[in-house]
Amino acid sequence: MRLRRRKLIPVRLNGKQAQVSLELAASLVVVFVLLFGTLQVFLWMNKRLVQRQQDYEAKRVTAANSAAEVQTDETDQAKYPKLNIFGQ
Amino acid sequence: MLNLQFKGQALLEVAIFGSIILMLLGVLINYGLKYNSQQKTMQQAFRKSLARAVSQPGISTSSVVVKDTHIPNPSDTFGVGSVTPFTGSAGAVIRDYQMSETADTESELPRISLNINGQELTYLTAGFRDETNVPEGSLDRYDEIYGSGNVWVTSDGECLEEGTSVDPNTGETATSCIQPTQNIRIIDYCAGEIMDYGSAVKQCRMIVDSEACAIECNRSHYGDSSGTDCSSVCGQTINIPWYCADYTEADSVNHAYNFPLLEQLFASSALKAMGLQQGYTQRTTTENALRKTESPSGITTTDNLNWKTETTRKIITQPYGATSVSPVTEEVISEVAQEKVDSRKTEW
Repeated sequence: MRLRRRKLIPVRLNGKQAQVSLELAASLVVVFVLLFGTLQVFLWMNKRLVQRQQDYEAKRVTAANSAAEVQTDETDQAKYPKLNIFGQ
Repeated sequence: MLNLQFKGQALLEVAIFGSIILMLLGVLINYGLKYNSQQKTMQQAFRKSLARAVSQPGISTSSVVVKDTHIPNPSDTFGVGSVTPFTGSAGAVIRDYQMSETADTESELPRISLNINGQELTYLTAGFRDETNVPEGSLDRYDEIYGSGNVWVTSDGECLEEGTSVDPNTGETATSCIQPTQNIRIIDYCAGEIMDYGSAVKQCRMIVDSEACAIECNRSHYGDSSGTDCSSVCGQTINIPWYCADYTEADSVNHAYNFPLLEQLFASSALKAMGLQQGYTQRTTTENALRKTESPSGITTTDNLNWKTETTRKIITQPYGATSVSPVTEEVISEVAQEKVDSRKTEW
């Protein structure tokens, strides 16, 4: 039995060279911006979680001896910064 | 030669996948905010209980904090998302030297404090019940059912049977009481404003059925050295409180009973629970106004979005000191609202 040779189809570029790279470059910018934003949001949340727990533990003795409620004070902007993704 | 058929494909792909990424970002923000709010409400609830342990020593108060928090949605133009409730609860905090103390007055009874978005509501979780002319032997059964620390004698009751004795020396006749009784006061955890269905059924079973009482008694005294004779203790007769009345036996082998008054009391709650109900209704109203102002330099567009979410919760209680089925349903409405304005100018 003779094997039939496949006919090679020439690649037609039609001016689309590096189209994939271009698309990847454009979408990667957007994807990285979103990932950066997500990372910043998570860092902000994590910082608040840790800071709140730290403040909570620091006031244990005071809270156990006070008739008034001793709650964590989150008004201090230095300790509890507002969410600022792009600025510092 | 440029093929225009594929122009803007990259942008199209970014638009499609971007929306998926935005949705994922929303999920992640939701996750992070949820943990933040949960941590905050749990800490607040415990500190509330702790403060009460100092300000009102000896009073057992548990705290529940409910806080409705807005979780923004990044896919929305204005970031408007959903209002999610966060609940933190703390059991009663009692100073160690007051651990064995029980309430003597109504103001010292255990209670639960509900803080719903800043609205503070307090309910008693136990109440006093007075029983008169309790025979001495029956006192042990009251101790067994209600807990020995929750039952105490307030005064002597009537004498059920009197006997006379004659002094052989003087011949004088003296009358003495052969069957004395006592008036007692009980801290009953089913006599507060909020009662637990399971505990009430268990308590009623022990009250109406001596065998069920003996089974529970043996279970609780298993391995201890008190030497309690549960059959003897539970064989005594005791008074049946109003909420256990009109009972019918459902299964004599398993000591199962139907308590119609308890069923009526918990009929309005799907989960047969008093206090703050798990379900709630939310009603969101949105007001959106778009204003365009044309000027020689361009068009200014101002989008105004006001939204408000009203959450209605139900609290089911019974009036303190009630002796009949009279559940009270209280509605607590709390509101979360925001005003959003977005203004942009387009030059001619």
